[in-house]
Amino acid sequence: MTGAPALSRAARARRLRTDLTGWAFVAPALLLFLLFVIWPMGHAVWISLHRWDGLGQMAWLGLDNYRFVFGDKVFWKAMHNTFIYAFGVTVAKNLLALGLALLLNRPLRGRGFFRTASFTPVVLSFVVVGVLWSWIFDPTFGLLNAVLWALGLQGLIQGWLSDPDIALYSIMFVDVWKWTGYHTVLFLAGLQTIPSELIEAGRLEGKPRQVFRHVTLPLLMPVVAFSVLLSIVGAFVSNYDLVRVMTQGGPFHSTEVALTWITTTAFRFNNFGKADAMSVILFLIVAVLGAVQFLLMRQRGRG
Amino acid sequence: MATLALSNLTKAWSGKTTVHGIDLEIPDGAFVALVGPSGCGKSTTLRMIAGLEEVTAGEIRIGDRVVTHDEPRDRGVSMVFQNYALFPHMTVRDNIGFGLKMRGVAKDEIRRKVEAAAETLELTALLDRRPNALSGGQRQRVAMGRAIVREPKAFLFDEPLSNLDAQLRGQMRAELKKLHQSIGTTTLYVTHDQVEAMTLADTVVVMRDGRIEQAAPPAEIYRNPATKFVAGFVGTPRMNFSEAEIVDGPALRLDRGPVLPLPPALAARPGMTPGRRVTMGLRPEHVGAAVPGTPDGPGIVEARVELVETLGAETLVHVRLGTAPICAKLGPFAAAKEGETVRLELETSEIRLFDTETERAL
Amino acid sequence: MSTMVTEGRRSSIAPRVASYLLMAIMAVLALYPLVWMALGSLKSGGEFYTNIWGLPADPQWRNFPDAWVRGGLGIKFLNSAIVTFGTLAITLPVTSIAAYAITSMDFRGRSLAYGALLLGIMIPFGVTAIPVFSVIAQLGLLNTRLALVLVYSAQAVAFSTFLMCAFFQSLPAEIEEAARLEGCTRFSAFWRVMLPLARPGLAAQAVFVGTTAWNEYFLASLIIRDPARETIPVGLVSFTGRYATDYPALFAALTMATLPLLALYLLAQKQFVAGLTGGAVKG
Repeated sequence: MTGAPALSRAARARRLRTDLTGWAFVAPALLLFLLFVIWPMGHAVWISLHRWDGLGQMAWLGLDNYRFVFGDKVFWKAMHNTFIYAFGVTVAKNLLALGLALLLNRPLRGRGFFRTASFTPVVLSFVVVGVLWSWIFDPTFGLLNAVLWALGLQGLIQGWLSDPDIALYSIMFVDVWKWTGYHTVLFLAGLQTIPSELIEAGRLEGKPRQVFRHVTLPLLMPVVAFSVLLSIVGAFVSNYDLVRVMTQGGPFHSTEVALTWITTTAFRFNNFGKADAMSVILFLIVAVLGAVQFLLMRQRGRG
Repeated sequence: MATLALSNLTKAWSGKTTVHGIDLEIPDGAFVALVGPSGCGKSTTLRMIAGLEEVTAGEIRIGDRVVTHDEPRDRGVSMVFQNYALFPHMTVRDNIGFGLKMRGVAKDEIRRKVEAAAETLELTALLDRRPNALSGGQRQRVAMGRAIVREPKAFLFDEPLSNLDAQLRGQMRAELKKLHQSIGTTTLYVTHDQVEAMTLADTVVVMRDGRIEQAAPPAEIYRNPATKFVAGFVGTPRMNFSEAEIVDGPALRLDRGPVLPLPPALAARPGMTPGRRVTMGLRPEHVGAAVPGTPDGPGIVEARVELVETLGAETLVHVRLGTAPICAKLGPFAAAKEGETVRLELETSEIRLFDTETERAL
Repeated sequence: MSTMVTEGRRSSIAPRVASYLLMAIMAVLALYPLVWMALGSLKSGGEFYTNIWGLPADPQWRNFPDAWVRGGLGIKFLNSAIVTFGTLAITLPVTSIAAYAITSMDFRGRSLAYGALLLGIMIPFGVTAIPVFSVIAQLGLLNTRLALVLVYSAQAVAFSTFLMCAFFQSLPAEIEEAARLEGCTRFSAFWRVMLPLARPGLAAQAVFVGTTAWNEYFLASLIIRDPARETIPVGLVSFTGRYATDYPALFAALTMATLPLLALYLLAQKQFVAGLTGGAVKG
């Protein structure tokens, strides 16, 4: 088309009209996206090169903020926790959900009810979920310890959110609780797209375990990849609400995650330069993770 | 109503040319069928006329207006799509009246016109239904109603019958013909089905690889195909072809087969020099059973039967003449048996010759 | 033959029992905390500590109006509604017309536009919270609900456009072409034909975008400082801080905050599940 000899005026007018209309239609979406998603990230890079308290004058610092970040022990602790959180939660959610989906992928009565029930926490906000579970985890008046007591499992009674060794895992559990139903529904939908003839043909050939490995799992792979991508990227972000509501990052930074520490740095220490430097670093890490996952997904899709 | 004229109409898309400078003039009120195998550029041509595809070069004229680069809505044509493209969220009434509404026609008038169109197409009882409550044939009629109600300058049809079953297709074909006879709007009809093209159109345009092979009335296309491709594309069963050579006479010798006399008109043509390679074409209905007792003579051949297809109204007998497979269309009770030898009479006056290189008719 | 049948039957009983057992356990795990929350909201302050998991002995219905008044929940519900509907009012038209252009118009630069938007799907927005805060401050929009509406819409744009594109691609292209032949401009073809046809897609969008906006806490907590403009999640957290000791009231507030979405979910389960998992299940 581009090589076509000099288009007539009418042809160019029509082309231009199409181009202008097209751009006019995408403009509002693009504008919003550029203004509140892309521009802030670019702006953050700029701020990260300055000392800035969020209000006053900015002073050029070059890469000093990044040096401060790399020397910040709490930041590394928070990054460490973020990774444990993201990967732990991703593995737990997806394994649990896959198992449940496999069990439920048969015509059982009451399946609809179970789906409704397990999906319910998905609809709730993290704030509600966080406050509720803080109470369930309460050492004295909480539901969990009361249940353990009633079951005669006093030995298991813990300060679920006050013990630095387990607080992070308690929060991760809540995240898993909220999202497992979601991933189960994803997997169930994926399983239902697998033609039953394939599974039956597989059953004639081999043991159920082999059928799962060689027929079901490969066909489910695109859904698994999507689900994993969703939970990893989600876990880097969603942990803020839970941690803020349940432990504020304590005790002793044992539940500090990147986002809570970034926010504390910005608003408690009024150090926006350093907070933005941390945002940029976190962004890059997540972008790499996302890209890797995306490529894996594409490769799987082609294979 | 208006004439529809294409001159040098060209479509190139990412370096590939799919329509190569087509010239075609459709007179006012004519019914022209554009036919060809899939990928021949017929749909692209139609879509360029509708304004749904950009035109790379050339000109489209409807009536006395050049519309090459106009928006679809400004061209005054209406189109019936293969999948009907009815608006699923509107009733039949609103579907048919949509174009009028968009053009700001008064409500009463829309109502009157829609009802008149529905009357013509026997849709009156269905006016308040939605498309998904209609059968295929009914949807087809709604699509036509939407097309005629606007009294367009031209109708464009894109394979409108190919989603219907065979019986309904035949019925709708007849209805379409009647409709065109009663309203007489200039029509361009795209189809891959040569039977549809032949039965419906005043002029059949056969396309291949983005070019027009021949544009002529159906009888002319059938009797005097301009190229070997047209000859083979039109007619069922397909025309018999055999490689052959001109011999003294001039006459024709099929490769490793009999010598046949040439029709006088062909024999008189210059260039029929002995030794010239040609392709012979002869339609199955011009290969008949020789009446018993007919003496040997020009056009009488003997051949071994390879396959017999009994179709009821006719019997297709497949034989081999020289190297070429030949199909003969015989009467309903032809008593040919596979493996037997039959005597056939070729109507040599119906022989057509094609240049082996260019495939053009001689 | 018969042995195969009985074998099949025997082997399918154990997994069936296991399935039911697991289903029951998961259902209890998923629902009991919510039941516990609702029960707790009806207990008196004292009973809350002594009767941890029983039914409330004497349901304290006034916990609800108390919490409502003390938490200023009315204004917070209103704020959340404004923000949620504002976000929907921007997101739905903006993304559907963009998706229409991307799927059915052949304009130059369309893959560039689409590619830029797709990039947004990969961005986890929490990471951009502090940067977004700075931009909002620069625009002088701190402490406004408009800021939330704009940012939520912007964050929904990428995924919603992507989903709407998939939806429009599933419709036959000829419908839009027929509309334009019948006299529609590009805009009226979108408005009169494509948009009405996109209703199921829009419903899924509305669920996804609406739920996200209704539940969002992080940005809202940074941008909104005035209690009169707080959304529900922010309001709940302040409530937790201020009335840390009045647990039944807190639970009543939680229950009330949960009810609208929960009720919508139970009424329109299919749409919710489709909306929240939409792109995933199809893609």
